[in-house]
Amino acid sequence: MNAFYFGASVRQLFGCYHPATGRSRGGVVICAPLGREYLLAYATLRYLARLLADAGYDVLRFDYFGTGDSAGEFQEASQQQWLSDIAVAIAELKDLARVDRVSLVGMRYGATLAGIVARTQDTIDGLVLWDAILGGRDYLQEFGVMSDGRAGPAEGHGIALTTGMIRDMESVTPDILSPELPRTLLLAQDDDLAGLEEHRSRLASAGAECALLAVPDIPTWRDERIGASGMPVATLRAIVAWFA
Amino acid sequence: MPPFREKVVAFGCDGRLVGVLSVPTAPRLLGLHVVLLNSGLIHRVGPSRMHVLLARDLAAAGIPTLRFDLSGVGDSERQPEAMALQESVEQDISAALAYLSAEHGAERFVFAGLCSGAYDAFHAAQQDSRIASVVLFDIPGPFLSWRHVVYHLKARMLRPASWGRPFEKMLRYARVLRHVSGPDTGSTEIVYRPGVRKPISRQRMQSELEDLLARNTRLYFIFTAGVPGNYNHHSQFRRTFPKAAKHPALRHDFLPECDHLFSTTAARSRVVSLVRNWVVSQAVRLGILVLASSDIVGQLS
Repeated sequence: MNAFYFGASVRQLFGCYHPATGRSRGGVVICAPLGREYLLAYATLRYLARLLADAGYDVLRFDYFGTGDSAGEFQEASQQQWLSDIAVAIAELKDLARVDRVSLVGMRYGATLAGIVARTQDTIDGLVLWDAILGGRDYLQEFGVMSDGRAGPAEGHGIALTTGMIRDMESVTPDILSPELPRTLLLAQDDDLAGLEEHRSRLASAGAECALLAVPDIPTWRDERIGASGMPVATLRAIVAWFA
Repeated sequence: MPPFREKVVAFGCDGRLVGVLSVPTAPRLLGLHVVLLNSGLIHRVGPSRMHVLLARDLAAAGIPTLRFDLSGVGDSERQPEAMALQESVEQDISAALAYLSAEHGAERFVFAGLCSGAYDAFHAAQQDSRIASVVLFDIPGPFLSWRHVVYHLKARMLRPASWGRPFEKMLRYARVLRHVSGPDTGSTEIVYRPGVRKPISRQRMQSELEDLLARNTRLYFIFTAGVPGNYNHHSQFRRTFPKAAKHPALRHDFLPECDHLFSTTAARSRVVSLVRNWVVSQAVRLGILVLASSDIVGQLS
């Protein structure tokens, strides 16, 4: 693993590159969740990167602008900035690993962002959406934002949302799951399975290649054991198997 | 451009410990470095990104600050061989001090940590006299007293929702878990063995406090309202350690508006400001040449 900063000097992003063991089978960029969910899932996502690297994939984990070790304050960031960060990370991985195409693995809001990016980039091979946020208003309630859109403290998970973030999150709906997505795995630790099956079926009937994997367990992004006994090894192996 | 820059550093055996060093772009306070330790299994950015904010603020004030992951936490590799948690932590801290001394000319250190990080910082200071000052957030300690119990029960009585889960939270907070290194069983398996910090008895902490103060180590205890099973009123430290509390080298604050993980912007701002001012005052006390931050020192005097 190689930890480093990349991107524009005024907006440096922290990244960890896990080179593929043996001949590369492609690249994978991991898109993390936000706030406290990221802290709780950190060890899991690192372990996933190791498993994928062992399976022959070049993997890049990174922190969005204003999060983790990357430059900036959270309040200076925006959804547009994070989408741009994913694009920068994809370009960085292509350059590092000398691969033409990459896949994205996103968790929670990171999955939502990955889904948005995958619809607009034509070099994405595969997409894993792990408990993606498909209803922005429900997600915002966790930050104290009222269901009618009025902002409460808008602070939760150790982060404070800006008005722009709230506006962008409010607009998130299941429509991000569109037939233009590449080969997709919907991974559910916490989500409404019936609802996800409906989305999978909708995408499949529109000709998209989409699988649903349900892993009923304490969601890793909520599990306060933080990667010790809470490491969902079977789930991670299922993701690697899906890639293979 | 910000008044600091950051770089990823790797040190220890085979560079297996990973950290980020925040360095002032202007001339710095010579010789003094701050080291931020992990709290539990939260990686080096700290709870609610507190360590990042603190490191950047301190670097902007002229003080280089390292946040790094202990073995098996965050991006640092596990120890190659099985060893006790305490031994592993001591080795990692020694490696960090050696790196900062050799590569950056560090001579004196300020250590800071939350919860298990405070515990580790407290013990590191006893073992290395170059650690001149320590900031301890919510150190799990022997602060129980009748007054504490009365305050705790009174608070619970006012929160009927908590009646149904007696001591559950206290027990959860009391457990400070971290996995210890173990033999590598292959790249696709991780073996975890939870390590539990031994509670510090009142007598032992009293004795260790006296040793540190006799050595003129400066200690800043900060307690939040987030661990009511550990600390819940302003006079608790003074009542537990009356002699040490009067010592001019020791400061203690109770911040009832802050939770254990500094979840709100206001809590983070408050703590960053308190710690920065205290650390800069320690640099001045140590006679460390101030080249960059005369404005801040001016505010303190």
